[in-house]
Amino acid sequence: MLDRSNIGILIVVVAFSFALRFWGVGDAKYFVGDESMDIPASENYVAAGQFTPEFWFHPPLNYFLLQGSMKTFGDNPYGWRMKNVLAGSLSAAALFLLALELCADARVACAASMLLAIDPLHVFMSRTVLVEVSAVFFCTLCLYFSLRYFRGSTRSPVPAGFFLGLCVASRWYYLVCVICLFAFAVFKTFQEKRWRWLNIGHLFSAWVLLPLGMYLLAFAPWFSRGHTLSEFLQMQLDAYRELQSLDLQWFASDFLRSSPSSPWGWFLRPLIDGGLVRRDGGLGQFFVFMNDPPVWLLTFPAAVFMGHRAWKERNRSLAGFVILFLAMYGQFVVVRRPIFLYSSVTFLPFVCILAAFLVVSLMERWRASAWHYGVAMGAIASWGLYLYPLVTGRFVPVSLYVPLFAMGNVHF
Amino acid sequence: MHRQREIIESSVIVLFFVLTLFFLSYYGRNHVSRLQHPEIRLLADPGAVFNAWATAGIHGKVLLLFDRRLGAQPVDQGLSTFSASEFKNASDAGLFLAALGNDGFPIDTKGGDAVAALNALISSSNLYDTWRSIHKGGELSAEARKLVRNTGRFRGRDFGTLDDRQKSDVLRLNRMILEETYPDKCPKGLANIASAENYVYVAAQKGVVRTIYHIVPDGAWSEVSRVLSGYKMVTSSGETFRMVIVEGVPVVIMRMKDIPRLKEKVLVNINGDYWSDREMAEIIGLFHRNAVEADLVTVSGRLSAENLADLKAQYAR
Repeated sequence: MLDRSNIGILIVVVAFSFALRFWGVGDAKYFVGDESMDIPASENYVAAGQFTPEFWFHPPLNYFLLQGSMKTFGDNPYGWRMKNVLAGSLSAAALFLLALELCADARVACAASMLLAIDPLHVFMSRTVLVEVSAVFFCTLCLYFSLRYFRGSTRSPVPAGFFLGLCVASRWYYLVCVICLFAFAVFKTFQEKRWRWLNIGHLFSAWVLLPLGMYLLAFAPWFSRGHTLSEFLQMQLDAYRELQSLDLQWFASDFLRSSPSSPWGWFLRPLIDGGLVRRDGGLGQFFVFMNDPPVWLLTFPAAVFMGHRAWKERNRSLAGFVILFLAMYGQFVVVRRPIFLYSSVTFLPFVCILAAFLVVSLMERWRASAWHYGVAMGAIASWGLYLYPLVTGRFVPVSLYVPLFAMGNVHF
Repeated sequence: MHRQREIIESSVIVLFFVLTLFFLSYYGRNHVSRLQHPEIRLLADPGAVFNAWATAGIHGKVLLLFDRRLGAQPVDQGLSTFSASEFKNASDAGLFLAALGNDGFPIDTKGGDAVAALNALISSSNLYDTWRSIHKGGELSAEARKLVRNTGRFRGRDFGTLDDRQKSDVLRLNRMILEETYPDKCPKGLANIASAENYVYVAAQKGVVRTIYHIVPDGAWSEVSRVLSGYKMVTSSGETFRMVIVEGVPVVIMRMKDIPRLKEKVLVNINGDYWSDREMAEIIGLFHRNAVEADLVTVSGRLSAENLADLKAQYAR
C-alpha cells in the first residue's frame, strides 16, 4: 500500500509539519502555561514519585517523556518542548499511514495528514509540554496497528497493545479504546468462527493485559514512596473521585475559567478564545486557543457519511472507526467535570480522516481532476498558513483577523 | 505456526504482567524505612515532629497520629512572606531593611514597620530585575533560576493583577533572592517549612508518610464528625471518615476503638495536650498488647511521669 510516491508525500508532510512546529519553539526562554507545573513535576516524579506541583490524579507517563526529552535536548526551552514538536510532527506521518490503511486512498491520506499538520490547535499544543500531543501520536499508531491486525496485514496484535499501553498511561479516557478494540477483536474472532479460549486469551493479553502492565509500570516511582498494590487500587479510586469532583472554580487560571468548558460545541460551532498580549500599531500579538471551523464543523456530517458508506459497502473498518470516534467522544459528553478545548486535540485523528474522507469522496463524485485536488490541497495549506502566525504568538496585522475574532471570543 | 505464535505472545505478556506485579510489590516494600532500634522522642511542640522524622531518615511509613488536629494546612505563599517572629531581635528586621536600602533596593520605610516594608519589597514582581542591576554577575541557586524562568512571562506586571499561583512564585523567588544574597541578615524562612499547622502536609508531600490514621479523642468526636460530614470530598463508612490530602495521601479519621490491625511497624505521633492521663495510658496499652507496633514514637505536649515511665518501659523490653 505504501509505494514510493506515497513515501515522497509522507516525507514532505512530516517536513512541513515539523517546520511549523519547530520554528521559534525556543523563543520563549521561560516557562509558558503548564510548563511551570509539568517540568518541576516531571523532575519530582521521576526522582521521588512526587506529583507536586502537578495534580496527583493523572496517569504519569508524560513525566518520563518530558525527562527523556530534557536528557536528550537539555534543560532548556528545546528540551522542554521537543517531545511534543517531534510527537506532533510524527503524528502527521502516523495519520497518513492510518488513513491509507483505512481508506486505501492516498488522496484521503494526504489530505488528512495535511489537515493535522496545519491544524491550529495541534500546532499550538505541539509547541507546549501538554500530554495530549504525545497521547494522540500513540493513539494513531495504536489504531494503525490494530487495523492492520484486523485486516490480516500483520499477525500480531502486540504492537497495537503496546501503543495502547502508552495511551492509557498518558490519559484515562483511552480506556474506552481498550474496551472497543478488544470488543472489535473478539467480534472478528466470533465472525470468523475462531472462537477458542486460546484466541480470546491471546487478544485479551494483547489489548488488555499488556496496556494494564504498562500502566502499572508507569507508577513505579509512586510505589517507591512505600506503597503496596492494594493501596494502588485505592489511590485509583480516589483519583477517579477527585476528577469527578472538579468544577470550574477549582481551576486557578482565569483564562481557563472563562473559556468554553463543555465538549458539546467542539464540532458544532467556531470556538476561538483568547486575547491580545501586545499591540504595536496595526500589529498585534495574540494568545489564541481555537478549533479550525471549516474542518471541525465537517466532523459530524462526515461521520454520518462514513457510517453510511460503511453500511452500504459492509466495510467493518470504516464502521469500527466511526463507532470508536462516537464512543470516545460520548464519554467526554457525559462526564460531569469541565473539559476544556485543549482536550479536543484527542479527536484530531478522527476529525482529519473524517473530513478528508468526505471531501475526497465528494470530489470524486463530481469527477474532480488531479488539478482540482491540487487546488484543494493548496487551499488547505493556505488556510493553515493564515492561522499559523496567529496561534504561534507572532505579531500579525490585526485587521486581517478581525472577521475571525468576530466568530469567537477574542479581546483586542 | 500461527497457533504457536499466539501461545508464545500470550505467555510472554502474562509473564510480563506477573513480573510487573511482583516487582512493584517488592519495590514498594523495599522503600519503607525501618529503624534498627525502636525509639521514643520527646519533643517541645508538634512543629518539631517533621524534623525528628527527617533526621531519623523516615520514608514511606504509615502514621498513627494521636492528635486533635491533623496539621495538614497546605504550604502556601504565606511561608514566603516575612513575619516578626522569624527575626531573633526586634531590631534585626530594621537592620536588614536598612542594608537593602543602602544597596539600592527601593524600600518604603514611611509606615515604620520594617517587616511590612520587607513584605512590600518582595511583593514587587520585578525585584529580580532590580537585583540583577544591583548585583551584576551575582549567582542564584538552581531552584531560584527555575523560578526566574517560571516567572519570566509575568515579571514586571503589577503584583495585584497576577493570579494566585503567579503571586506565590513571585514571592518565593524574591524571598529566595534575599535569602541567598544576604545569608547573614535574611532569616531562612523557606527552609523551615514545617510547622505545627502543616508538618503532616509536608511529610505527605515529601514521601515521609504514605497513609495516615488520625485518631481523635472521644470527647472531640461529635464535633469532628459533624464538621467532616459537611465536606463533599470526605467519605464516611459509619465509624470512620476518609479523605485524601496532598499527593493523594489518604487520611482515615477515627476514634481509638476503631484503629485497624496494622501489619507493619508504623510511626506514632502523640500530642499529649489533647489526651487525658487515662487516655494516654490506653494509647500506651496499645503497644503493650501489640495492637500497634511502632519503630518511632514522637510525643509532644503534656505527658505524666507515670505514663512516660510506662512508655519507656515498653520500649526497653
